[in-house]
Amino acid sequence: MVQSAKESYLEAFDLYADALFRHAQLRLPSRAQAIDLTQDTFIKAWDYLRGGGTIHHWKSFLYRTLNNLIIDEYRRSKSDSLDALLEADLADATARASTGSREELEAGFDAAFALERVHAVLPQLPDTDRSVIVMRYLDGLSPHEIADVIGISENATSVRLHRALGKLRKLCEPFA
Amino acid sequence: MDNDRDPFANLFMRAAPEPLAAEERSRMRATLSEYSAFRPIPSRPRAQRVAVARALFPSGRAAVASAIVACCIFVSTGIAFASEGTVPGDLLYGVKVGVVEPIQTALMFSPQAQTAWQQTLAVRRLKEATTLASEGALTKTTEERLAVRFSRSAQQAAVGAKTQHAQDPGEAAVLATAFSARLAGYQDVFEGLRNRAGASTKALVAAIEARNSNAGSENLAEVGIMPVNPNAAARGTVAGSMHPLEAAPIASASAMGTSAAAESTSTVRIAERMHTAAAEALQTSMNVIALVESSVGSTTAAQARAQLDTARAAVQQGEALLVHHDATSASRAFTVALSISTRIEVLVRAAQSLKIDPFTDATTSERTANPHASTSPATGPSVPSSESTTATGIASSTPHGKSAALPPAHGQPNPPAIQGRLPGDLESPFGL
Repeated sequence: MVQSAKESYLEAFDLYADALFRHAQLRLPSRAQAIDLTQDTFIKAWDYLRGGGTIHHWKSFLYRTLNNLIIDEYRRSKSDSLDALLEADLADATARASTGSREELEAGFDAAFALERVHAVLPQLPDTDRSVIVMRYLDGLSPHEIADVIGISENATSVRLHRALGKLRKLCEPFA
Repeated sequence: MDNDRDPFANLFMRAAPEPLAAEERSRMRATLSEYSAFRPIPSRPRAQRVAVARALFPSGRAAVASAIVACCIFVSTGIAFASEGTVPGDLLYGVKVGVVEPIQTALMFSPQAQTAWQQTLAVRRLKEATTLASEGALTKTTEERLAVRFSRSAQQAAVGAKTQHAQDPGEAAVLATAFSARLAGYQDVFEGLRNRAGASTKALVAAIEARNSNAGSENLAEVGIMPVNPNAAARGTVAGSMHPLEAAPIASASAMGTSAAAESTSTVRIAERMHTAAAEALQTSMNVIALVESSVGSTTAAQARAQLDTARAAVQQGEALLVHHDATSASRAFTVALSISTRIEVLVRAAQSLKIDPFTDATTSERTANPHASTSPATGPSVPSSESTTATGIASSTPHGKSAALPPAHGQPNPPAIQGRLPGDLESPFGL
């Protein structure tokens, strides 16, 4: 039996709501905002269906929508200027920290220690870097899926991920 | 991604925040289900719908009008009605904020209507917080959600106000003044609830302060108010403020490129609009006090009336200034009156629902020690008045007991006198 649009919609909610919410929490300053944007993501998805659109891949559609909403939220709260400043400050750190393979960077984190530090330093990353790290290591999206969500090439995604890890490690270093 | 071979991924999974609580999840699902039920996917393909619509409504305007009627019918019936007055935690609250309010927002066309509506939504979030606080149910999470929604509406209102200011400066000034005064009242209420159990208000206060700081560029010089004999003339310069009673952004006709004659007409029109609004707000506040006096107690009612006496004096002053062709100063006097009246209405209503005395300061010593610790954007130096009575009546010698006592208005504990120029006065009122 062909599933109705509403059934697919609610099934997508059951499957992805928690993951989207956790993703939003790591990128937004408050839990309340994360709840709001998670709900807004699904509302936009329904509006898209209602407007005649077809969603073939709910996961990437929802992540893309949430990503855009988060970007809009940052623009609204003028956080982009802060991100830009942080970006500039970390430019040198990036150059120094981006040496070595991704595996070496990942292995450089002491697991027990870094768990605590991840919570502390992740918000300090620019959202552009935070988003790829969260999508890759929390949401489990492949580089191809991440590229689809944020609208860049898979190559550029891998580069951004590598640099983001370097920055994350650099931020964690004062605590080592 | 194979978590067994990827310790970094495992680390992140362990660092993941908590998922939605069961209640949050079910509430969100119910809201989305309602939303999808209210806005079903049309059965016909879009092209066919467009063709049918064009056949039925050759003119696009008729289609829009029909849609508006349909929305009005929905909004006026059943679920929409039932969701009114709901607060976070109620079953239909999701319908109210996710369905009904967006529909009502879509029905606002003019900049004036949009600005007023967004201000209404912003204040509505604060009222919901007050209701929850009165029930001891304003949790941190709920408070943050309300603060986020408040900030969004306040931002939308600010955007609409800029457009409206160009088109109807008088109405824009009224809305801006009343809105700021309401927020000031709620800020007082929330700060007074800081230590009350089941009333988390820190995020709301921060959101109001953020709105005030963003709106700072729109505000003119603040004025000082104190209760005076309405028949007495007070002299002096404008200094500091009792409260973030931001003067309305009185339109400068010269900035609009009009002639001197047209400028005076425009300014007079703005002053008259402010006069009407101030008089209405004053009467409304008087009515509210009369209505709730038995609930809030005679002392609170008397103190509220004392402040409204100051507002009345400001109205009378403005009327005198208008007669003497000083519309700009008259506007400022009416602004003061409107601000006081609106703020008092908020405080008195809060006194009734929260069982507090909004006119007793539990933190007098704190503010006296740091009189410049105002959270509002003061635009001028503060000059303590030699007269120590205050419009908000700091009850320095009367401990309030266990009730949540509110601090006096923001800013100086001893606000200077209301300044008004009467015939023959040489000094310009309000620092002009």
